[in-house]
Amino acid sequence: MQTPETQRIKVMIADDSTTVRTIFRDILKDTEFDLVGEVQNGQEAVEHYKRVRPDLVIMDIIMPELDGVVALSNILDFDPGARVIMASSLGTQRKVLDSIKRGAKNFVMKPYDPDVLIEAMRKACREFSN
Amino acid sequence: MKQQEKANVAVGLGGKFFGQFLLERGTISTEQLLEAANFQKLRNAKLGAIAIAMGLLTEAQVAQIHAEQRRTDKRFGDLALELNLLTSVQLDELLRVQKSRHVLFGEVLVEKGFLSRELLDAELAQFQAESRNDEDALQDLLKTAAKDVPVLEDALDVVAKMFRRLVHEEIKLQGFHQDKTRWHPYDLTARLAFEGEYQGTFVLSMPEGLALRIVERMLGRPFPEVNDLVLDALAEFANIVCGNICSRLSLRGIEADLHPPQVSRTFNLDPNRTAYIMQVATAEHPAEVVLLAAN
Repeated sequence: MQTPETQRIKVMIADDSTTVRTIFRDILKDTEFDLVGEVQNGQEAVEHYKRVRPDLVIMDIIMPELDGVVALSNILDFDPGARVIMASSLGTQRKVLDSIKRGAKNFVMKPYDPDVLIEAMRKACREFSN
Repeated sequence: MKQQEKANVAVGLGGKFFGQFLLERGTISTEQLLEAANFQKLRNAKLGAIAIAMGLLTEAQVAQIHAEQRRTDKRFGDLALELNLLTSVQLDELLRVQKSRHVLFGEVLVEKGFLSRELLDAELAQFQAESRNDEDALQDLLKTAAKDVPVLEDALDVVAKMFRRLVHEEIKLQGFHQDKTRWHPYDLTARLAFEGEYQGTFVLSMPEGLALRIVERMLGRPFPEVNDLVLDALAEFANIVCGNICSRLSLRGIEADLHPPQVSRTFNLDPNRTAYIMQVATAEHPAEVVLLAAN
């Protein structure tokens, strides 16, 4: 179901896998989220964030150039209010804690459960609005 | 590629393992095996096909349920109810019809006159006894090796879980060995290296047919041949498997990281590294999972 233009949320994804980005596009269909950027590595994620200023970022961890955890820190250095959800299959205790400590709003494990991912995205946006 | 040919015969004919057992023993011929497997495949139709044949669902509605299945782990019938495409009475009737049509491979052989009932019972008893022995021996072997390699059991378990979750297929362990001279990679091989408190390399080798099946399931549309997107999806599948292995290891206090995945058509095992080679198979395709220890 489409929501009014004013309530739509701009989201970007950083993942080096075309497959994951394709699946992510499918998940966003018929939701309140608009995909405003797809990038393939952490460096591009930081640059694209600065240009587009999306409401939400979905960030993979293992990526070429700059990994997702470092990209997360760089984005938060630029914009401390940035909302970034880490999305990775690498859900080790160290990675999860490290990401949250650095300021990630959530950590979603791959393979995506679409309902879990969308709920995490909505929660991050609600907390931000409040 | 003798090993591949054998494995394809072992699991590629719909009769699964019992068919191969009978073939190896000379109880049935390859022609009989194929005919019985084709007959069984036609009889054991899926719920969607039966629903269409009975006029309960349209092809478009079945496609809608299948699309939803790719997003979730839910069963066909449960989704049909959730989407209000079937009532519970209709679903019960569908399941009853499916069950009444379902036929076992051995029964087909008897029905077609390839085996007598007495011979089927005798062969089945022998097959079950040998299967139990093989499985016990395999598990014992794996457990022995797993003492040396903490990731071994986790790897196999996660591979099975991800095949179930992403490909909607069961994968079974069929053999385990450490003889690198018996390693013959299939058409495509994905691999990732671990680093940190566990160091080693995960290797998943499979024929093109299985790779295309995985990608079809992950992306929700068929792929007639291997292209860049297929290779990317295969890399992501291996990445998800290995990421989840790392998560398991983390629960045991072992912190490991991953290098990005690589997929290639050829891959040789390093002769200087210890290899743990697990032969696995879905209902239709063989594959091999290898862990290379870091020496």
